[in-house]
Amino acid sequence: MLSLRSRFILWVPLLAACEGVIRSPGAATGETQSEPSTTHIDVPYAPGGAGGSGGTSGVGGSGGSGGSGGIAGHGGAGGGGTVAEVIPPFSAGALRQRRLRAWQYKNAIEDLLGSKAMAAVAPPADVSIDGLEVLGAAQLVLSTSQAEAYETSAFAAVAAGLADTASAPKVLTCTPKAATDTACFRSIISTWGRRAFRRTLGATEVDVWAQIAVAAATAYAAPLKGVEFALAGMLQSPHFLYQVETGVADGTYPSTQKLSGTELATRLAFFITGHLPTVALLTTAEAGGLDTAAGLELEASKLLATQSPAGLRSLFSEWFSTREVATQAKDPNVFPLYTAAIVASLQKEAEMLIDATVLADGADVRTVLTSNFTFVNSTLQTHYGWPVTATATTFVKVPFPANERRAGFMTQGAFLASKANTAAPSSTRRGKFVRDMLLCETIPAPPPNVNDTMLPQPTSSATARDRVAPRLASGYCGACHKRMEPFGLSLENFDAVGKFRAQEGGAIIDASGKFDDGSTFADGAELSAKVAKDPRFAQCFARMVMREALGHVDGEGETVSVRDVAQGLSASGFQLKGALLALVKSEAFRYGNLEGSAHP
Amino acid sequence: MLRGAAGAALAIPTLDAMLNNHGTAFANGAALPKRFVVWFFGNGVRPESWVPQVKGATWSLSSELSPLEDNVRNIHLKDYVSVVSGYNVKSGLYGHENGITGMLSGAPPLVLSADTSKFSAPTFDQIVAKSIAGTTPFPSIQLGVSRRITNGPSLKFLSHKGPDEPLTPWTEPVDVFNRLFGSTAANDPKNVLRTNILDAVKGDLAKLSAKVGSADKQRLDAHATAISEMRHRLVTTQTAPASCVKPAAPTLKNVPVNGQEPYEAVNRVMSDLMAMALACDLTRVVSYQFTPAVGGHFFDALPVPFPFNISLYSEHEITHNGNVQGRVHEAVLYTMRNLAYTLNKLKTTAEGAGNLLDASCVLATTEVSLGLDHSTNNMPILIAGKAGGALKYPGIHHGSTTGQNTSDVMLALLQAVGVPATSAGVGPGLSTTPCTAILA
Repeated sequence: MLSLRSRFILWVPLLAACEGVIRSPGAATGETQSEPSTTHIDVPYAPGGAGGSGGTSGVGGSGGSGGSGGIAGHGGAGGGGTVAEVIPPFSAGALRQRRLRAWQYKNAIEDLLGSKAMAAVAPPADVSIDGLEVLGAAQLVLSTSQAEAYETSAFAAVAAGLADTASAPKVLTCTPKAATDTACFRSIISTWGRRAFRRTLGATEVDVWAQIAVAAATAYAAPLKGVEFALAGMLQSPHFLYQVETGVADGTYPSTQKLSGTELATRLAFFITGHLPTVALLTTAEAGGLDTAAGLELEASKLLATQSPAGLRSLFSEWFSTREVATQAKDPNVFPLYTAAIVASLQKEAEMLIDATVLADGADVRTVLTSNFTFVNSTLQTHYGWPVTATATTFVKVPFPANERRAGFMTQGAFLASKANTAAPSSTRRGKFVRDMLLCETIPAPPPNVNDTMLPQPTSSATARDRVAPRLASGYCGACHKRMEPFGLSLENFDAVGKFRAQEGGAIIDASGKFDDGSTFADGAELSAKVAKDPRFAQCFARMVMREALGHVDGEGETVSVRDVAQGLSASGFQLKGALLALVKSEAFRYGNLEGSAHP
Repeated sequence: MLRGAAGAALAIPTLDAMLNNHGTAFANGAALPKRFVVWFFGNGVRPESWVPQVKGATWSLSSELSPLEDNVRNIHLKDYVSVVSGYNVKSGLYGHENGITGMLSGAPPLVLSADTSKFSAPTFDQIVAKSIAGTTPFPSIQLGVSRRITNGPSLKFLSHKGPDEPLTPWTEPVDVFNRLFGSTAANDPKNVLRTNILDAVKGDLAKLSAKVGSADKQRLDAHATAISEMRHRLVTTQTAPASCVKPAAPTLKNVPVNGQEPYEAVNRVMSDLMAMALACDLTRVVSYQFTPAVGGHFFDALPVPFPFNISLYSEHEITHNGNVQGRVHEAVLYTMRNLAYTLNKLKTTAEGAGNLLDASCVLATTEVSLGLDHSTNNMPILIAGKAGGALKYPGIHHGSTTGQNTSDVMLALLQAVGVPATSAGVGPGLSTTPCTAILA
């Protein structure tokens, strides 16, 4: 049988005067590693299992009232009040060798061989685990056909790069004069390889690839073929394909490795820019510039100030389900006008909002949930039924129409269409997203024998609220669905492709509901505003950026770093930069252990 | 000269590859290889329309299996088919994930979170591959028709070498062709140079593997195994059997047309490529995902008898709607028409004195019995082929009245294709008692 577990993290952010941190009983920090006996709650699917939104949120750190209750009430377990608990001392999470995700691979190829080379590659697709592709990249094994895809891409990239007059001179720091021009081969391998492997290569390593160059140049009687084969080979090495992190035991923490300077440079660069670290950053790292928290903060600040944050953009696009819309099929009978151009425009709309809110300099990240504006081209204006003021190729910033009561990314078409079925919206999936991904709670999987035809028929089938009523009324199903559906139903004014509708089945849609603290919301926009203000969102924000940066789900021992990042976020007025600078300085960013568990 | 497998040489038939006078074995006495295919479709059936009414040798096709005998298409497969009913997944009751892992590996899923689970044990096709692949360039291949796969590794992928080793299916016909039959010249110096590179990559993997944690060590070692497989393909000259004919490169793209995936067209191309991959002995084991468990696929071409005002939902959504089960039936019929094409392709591909289906064991199954309630009892199991004489011919309908273990059937199939296995599955899914009723 499936083990049904519900795990929550909850603590109340500290006031400076406090000695410890208050955590709820049964709070857990995640799915990894050790499971102290108190850290999970088994949720029985017992009919009548008093569930729902038991406790009050109480996480409102302001005023130092300490929160009471917490989110315990799921399934009725946990009960009671809160117990103050000191956050455990830092202990490192597992270092996992992450394979570059497809977009990172492409960016790295562009860095090394130019844009034409990037266009020539077809790396294997990414697989997400627990909602994030970075976790799949850290856990799954490379299969033979994926290794072949890397081989094919490597040769294609090098051929295209060396044929590209814009990039070839940068690669060919010398021109090999003969098939045995080992000196030149070694020079190219060392120089180009330093960026590719994100560190200075050892002499024996250079030898191996130089031998391959000589053999190829000799076989073809063409010196340049040597460069081609050496580089295509290096692109298949684990030192290129994985974000290698083995660190050095520096004795600060037992059985713990401190990441090397170049490993940290690579973490910073892929995380923030989505690209390889620059040669300058590698040089700084090799000179010890990233060995201190202050050094990391400085270099991270520089990257944020000078580079395009493509790595961060990818994280937020993934987190906010912007990409999912591309693979979410819609029923052509219901949505005959829903085209690939609309899908692409919806993705662009969502990315532009992320750029204008989370990623914008000085912006409050929570605006991504509460913005009263969006970005549309004429394709989307037509799709949404709004006045057409833009062209197909130019996006304009427009306020949401007041009558549609939209706010933030959860009322944009990309999210709404992603969290919907082929013909109708899904209040379950939309509500579950809020719980799982914005509040970092975990709604357990449905019991495997779920069969909702056993439920009584709804008294009306007009609206989604009518149709889910029997589910909510059932103690068995309601234990979880009461936590998801009210949030999802607040977005019922938006159909499966994100268009506004006031009615469904001839009835006026009621989008109102009750939040965890007992307050009410009238619609999705008001729900978004409540989520934005909830301290659980700030905490969840911290955990999501950490997962991307670290490649694992934060463990119990990294709670202290989660707290630091969440505090960095709030102390900066909820600027992304505040969270990121706290993150790069945190112990979790700089330390890891090599034991790991087989299946976190 | 044919070239296969990222450059592996496929030599023209040699004397050794010629068959003996009876066409039952190679001239040198070696037996024709057996093949194992898992043909999978998602979301179950309507059991009352799937399970044939009469058991034993005098059975008739049920309504959902009727496409296996189709005069219009000149398809006559019933004799090649056995249906097994009344067998239950023992490793976990109910659910897509319990069903797919129980059916295909005899073990429960490794549940990570609400949306994600992995297989906890290797799938049976990988056990077969390990045993019967011999020196074929591909120990197994994975093909997919629908690309609308969802939810974590266990529902996405059919073949798993272990919990962290799902094998992703190839879903683009031209990619399949290029991987299997793509050509490079046999004397291309590139092949030796590529092996040099692969050796260097293996060296890097070995050194790195010694420095990382235990979980990563396993991953990097598996990566090294993958590199060894690639290397094997480069240095092996595959002797092409007489039945091997290099197919033409497909032009069909597996992309939706007006929102609808071209299932039938892709199924034809994939089946044709699979048949020739088997005939050329490029591989002996195939997992074939027509549609995924759960998934986002839907069949626009079907009649839609909806009782009230809702429109077309994905097949998974439909199976969970008690009011539109007639539509589920239509989808199963549609799926069986596609299965019939695949099986008939094997049957019409000559090999020796017979055909490929004579040498094959094809398991067609899904991850639940009735999608509506996620039942994993009375699993839909269809077995096609003779497995070189090991499977009963003509086929029968074998029904258990005591709810026996699906792993009993899997153990029989493992033995039928020549795996020296005495057990299949683990824990409650373990079987040591093969279902002999389907064996010759």
